[in-house]
Amino acid sequence: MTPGTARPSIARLRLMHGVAVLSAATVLTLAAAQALAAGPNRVADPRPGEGQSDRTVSEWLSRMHDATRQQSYIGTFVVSSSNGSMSSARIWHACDGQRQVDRIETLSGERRSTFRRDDEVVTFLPGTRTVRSERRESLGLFPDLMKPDETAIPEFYLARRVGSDRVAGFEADIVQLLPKDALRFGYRIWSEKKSGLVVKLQTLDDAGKVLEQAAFSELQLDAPVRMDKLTQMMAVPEGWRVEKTDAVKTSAAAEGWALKTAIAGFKPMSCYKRPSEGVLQWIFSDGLASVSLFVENYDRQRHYHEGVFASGATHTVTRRVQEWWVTAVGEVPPQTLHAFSLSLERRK
Amino acid sequence: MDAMDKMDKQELISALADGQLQGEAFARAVEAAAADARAREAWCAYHLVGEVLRTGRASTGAPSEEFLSRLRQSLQQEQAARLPMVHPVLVSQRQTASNDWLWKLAAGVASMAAVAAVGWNMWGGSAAGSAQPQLATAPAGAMAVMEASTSTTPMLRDPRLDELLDAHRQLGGATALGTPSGFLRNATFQGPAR
Repeated sequence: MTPGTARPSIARLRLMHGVAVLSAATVLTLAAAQALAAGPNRVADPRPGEGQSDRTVSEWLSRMHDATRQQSYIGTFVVSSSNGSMSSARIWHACDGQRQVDRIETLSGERRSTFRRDDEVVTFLPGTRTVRSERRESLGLFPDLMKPDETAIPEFYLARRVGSDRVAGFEADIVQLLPKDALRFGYRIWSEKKSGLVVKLQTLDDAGKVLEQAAFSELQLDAPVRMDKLTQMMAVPEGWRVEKTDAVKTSAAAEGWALKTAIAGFKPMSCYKRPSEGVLQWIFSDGLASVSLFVENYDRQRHYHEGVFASGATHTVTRRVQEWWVTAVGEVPPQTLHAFSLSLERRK
Repeated sequence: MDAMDKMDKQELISALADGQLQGEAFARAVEAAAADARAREAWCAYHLVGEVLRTGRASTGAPSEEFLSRLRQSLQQEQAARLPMVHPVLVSQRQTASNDWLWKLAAGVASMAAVAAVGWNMWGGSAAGSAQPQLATAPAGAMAVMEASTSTTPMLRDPRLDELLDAHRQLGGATALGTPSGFLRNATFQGPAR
């Protein structure tokens, strides 16, 4: 056969493959929709008698949390949101029970490589030959506030095993986390049966609609990922520009801000200011969802659009407070962000 | 050998569907496409695929035998008319597959969709001068939320909002579920292009 005719066939093969994946996705979506319509109690569980349904929220979360410290893997991770957008990345995860190293290569959109060694994050942007380097306190070794058994999570969420399923070739328990109030979203989590690793995660609104989901489409557990090899790749190549974040640690009180009333379940985590941008970021978390309150000087030219914005599970509420402009961002319902913005008070 | 032959046939039908063949190769491909039910199925599938790529939907359905027989007939007539001329086997080699632009387009759409991941759907609120029609009236006591009609409103892209979202992803976003859910999601999810 002449080479000229081989091309379209290859293209078609690719397309056929795409169609197959698409239809598989449709089947999944349909299945999810049916499961939702049927209500959480009726999600098919072929093996209901495994005695795992009596794990508490903390036990489930501890298992999932520990898995990321014990389990090395390589996989393809896909994130999609209710507005139809989809991103994917290739992920390498190495750990030795103490330390963790991740490598994340985006497969969609802008090319970007992110490396993480515990709380140290380095992002390579080949397009501009720029390296962003930062420390993320929230990713620290075992931040106490993130230890599931030390958070208030059980006070605000109920866990229930609703079935089992296969994700990326692995058997997984499906665990539903139901919020006890309207200030947070619910989650449906697929936790790999042996290790507990989270292999799929859905964020659900109060009506049970999937706002966002993330899952491994392909996963290799216990993959031979070496921490030293990944760490070596974090070195900045010659000729690349290094950008360091100018975020300076501070406290809300020192900056003259406080909450009139606390928002149930959300604890203040940290507070940063970025002098170059003149913005303060105060971060809260309930253990599963986080909220950032950004405060900056009110600018008539730019700050005219008070409102609510949505992007997947992430919502944003903007509001003028006296001479300041407040932007509340978080993976929470808009009313939670409203409560935050209304509670924020100047104390200076 | 048989399998090889089959593959050739599929490729031939594919090239035919792409309008790349002329002369004897064209005739051979038509023969192949009309030869048996399986070949006809392939021919139909390739057309359907092409149509879906071009228009984003399929309206053809399964082409009827009647259509195929008519096609066969008209091709035979055409061949008969051309018979006196000698046609070299002409398979356009340099010309890229005619649906290549579609692939590029599809890729473009895909990357746009990825960028749109950080686009914000405006839910409204107390926006000054908002001319959006109120689509849903929130019950008393609930927050007044309205969804902007996507067909009339371009997706709001406020670069400042994107920056703050990025900052939220960088410093917030840790959860008790362990890395896959918080950090991996944020690193995978498209941040604003800088």
